[in-house]
Amino acid sequence: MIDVGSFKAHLCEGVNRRAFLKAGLLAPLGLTATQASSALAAESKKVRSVVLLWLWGAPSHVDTFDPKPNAPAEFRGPFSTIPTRTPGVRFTELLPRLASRSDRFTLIRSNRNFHSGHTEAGTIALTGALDNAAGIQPNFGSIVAKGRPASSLPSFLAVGRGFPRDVVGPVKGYGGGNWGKVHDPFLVHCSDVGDVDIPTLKLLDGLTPSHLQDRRELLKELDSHQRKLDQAEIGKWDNTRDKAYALLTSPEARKALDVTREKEAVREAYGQTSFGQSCLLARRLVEACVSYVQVNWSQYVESMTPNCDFGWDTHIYNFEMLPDRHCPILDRVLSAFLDDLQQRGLLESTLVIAMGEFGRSPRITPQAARDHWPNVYFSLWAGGGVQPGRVIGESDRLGQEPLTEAITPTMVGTTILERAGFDAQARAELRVLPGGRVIHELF
Amino acid sequence: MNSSKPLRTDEKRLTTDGKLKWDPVFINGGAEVVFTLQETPTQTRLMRLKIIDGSVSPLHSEATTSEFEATYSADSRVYAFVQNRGNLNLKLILRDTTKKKDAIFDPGSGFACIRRPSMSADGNKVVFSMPNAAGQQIYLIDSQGANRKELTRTSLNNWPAFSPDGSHIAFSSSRDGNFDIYVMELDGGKVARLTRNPGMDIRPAWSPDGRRLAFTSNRNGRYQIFIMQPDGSHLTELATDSDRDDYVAWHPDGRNLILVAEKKGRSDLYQIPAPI
Repeated sequence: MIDVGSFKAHLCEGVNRRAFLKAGLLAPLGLTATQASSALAAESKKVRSVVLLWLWGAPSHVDTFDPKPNAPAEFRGPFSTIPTRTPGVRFTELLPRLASRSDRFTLIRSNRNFHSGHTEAGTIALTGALDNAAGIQPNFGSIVAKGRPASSLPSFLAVGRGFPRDVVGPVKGYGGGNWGKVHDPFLVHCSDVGDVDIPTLKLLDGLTPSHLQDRRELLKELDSHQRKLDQAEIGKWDNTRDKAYALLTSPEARKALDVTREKEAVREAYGQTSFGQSCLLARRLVEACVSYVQVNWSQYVESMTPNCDFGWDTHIYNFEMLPDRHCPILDRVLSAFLDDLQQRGLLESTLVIAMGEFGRSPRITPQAARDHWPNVYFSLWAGGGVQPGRVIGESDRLGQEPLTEAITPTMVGTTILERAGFDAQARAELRVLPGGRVIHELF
Repeated sequence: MNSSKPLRTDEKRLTTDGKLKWDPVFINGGAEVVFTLQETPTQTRLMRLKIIDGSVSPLHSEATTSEFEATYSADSRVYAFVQNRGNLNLKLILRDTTKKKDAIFDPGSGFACIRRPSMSADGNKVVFSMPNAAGQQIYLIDSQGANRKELTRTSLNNWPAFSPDGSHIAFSSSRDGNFDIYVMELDGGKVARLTRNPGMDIRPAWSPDGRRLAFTSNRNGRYQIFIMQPDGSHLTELATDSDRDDYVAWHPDGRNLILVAEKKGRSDLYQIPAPI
């Protein structure tokens, strides 16, 4: 069962003990009572929602949030720096809106990953597990969702056209991993004009939230489609059907997914791009108390190579792509998102992280661009108890290595889970992220 | 600096879909505009806009891969554009509409980039930007995609633009630290720096009479259009209420400009009178 109660009582008012245990009992792979108790102990400091803006492809740290104006030209690049609201901290000129809002977030400049391939590093960054040889660990969102009751909306939603991938395949850490597909995120796609569709239900031709108002009609349609599937698909189908049914027939869910309900001024603030409207959708999902939302920046704005999911992977035209498209869009959208959460009083109860899987080579390549660079990169943190307006960690003068303690994906994941209510005991009982430490410097 | 800041009360909005778009260029004497549209999240397409009725249609309806950055000869008979041919691999297509024949400039296999072509008015030459070991350089080729000559040597050089008489190339370069506008002769000699400020000055566009250059600058904190004479003097800032003005091009009459303006989160083409 997915629906554990009324929309408001169980989502927006927090998770009380009874509801939590009920959810645990009802969930196919729910928590034990001990796990639930441990999680409840962390209740007081936990955030209601986590939003990860997943900058797939890996943004150049040197050309955005960690410029090196005094480095030689072959490292520095052509972009000037501008002051921010944080004294002594400068970004490149490509991010003026975020520079003027640096008091809303804290920047880490010493993240480090341990692989230079997108899919491997992406899996590490999304699971915190450095070694996935014995099986893929679950995405942070899958873990959070396991401890949170789903309502008419799933607890872990991914916004994007598909799960991030490159030419060699998908990032394996996108979902439940070892825990199974039942813990994968529920994928929704939002277009540049705010049209929402559900890619995983493409087999259900014609079924969209706007078309389906009648529960009985929907059930009939779903049963009809189910009969067309072979037995091997039935297990997956049951799960999909449950989620789809709950999603498509719930007025609350449909409302949350309907970006067009927003005031025009709000939609304009985010801008008419898929990433912009996807982040607006993420804010609506936060408002509807979805526990974990991952917005995938992937094929939204990177179309020079059709049907390849490169995102920020600027092996070529780095110095055109960033000023032309990626940075203006990120600057506008992330600024609007933080403003919106703040104005609605949602920022403190929402942990927002923006990051990619690694950084990009500080030395400009012979392709006049930047390649992969896992040794150091940035992440941006806001809300959820983060003390804003600071920079944590430092990279060296060329942006090649951390000068301070490296912030690892394990630490990132541990911090997310801790703020989501999963303390060390809960994490141990779930056997996730052993040995990770919380990035206390953020709070 | 001359900040006359003409008002934009007489601007004309040419598109209304709000989708991301780039690089408009007037063709056929100003009767039509070709521009790049983010048609879907996975494909850019060259589009043709008829000024007389506002209709928009694909320039190449058969295209299945991304195409962008079209540039035309003065008579619109010949044009060039960048075409994606695979995994981060871009090629330059030179198309003669009279002979119905394509020439291709291929920078090679693997990650290969060619950007920002600009065609001479007579259609016989094209300049473009392409990486090399020393950075990103401006190259000159003929209409068959052959006889390549390197016009710059160091740093990142981009957004080349042929002067109407074919004697000079305006371009942006990071040779002095950040992107500023420069002009050079067709053989790469006599380089003159036209702008000096800490912001980006990019995408120079010659007026049809060759007496002015319009360009994009973020020197005031957002992307705006400026106009100057080819020696860098008489700098004029175009007033704007946009979040971003960019990708400026001149109407063949020299009295109007077309640009992409982002207003209220929507990107559309606007035609505005050029300041006197």
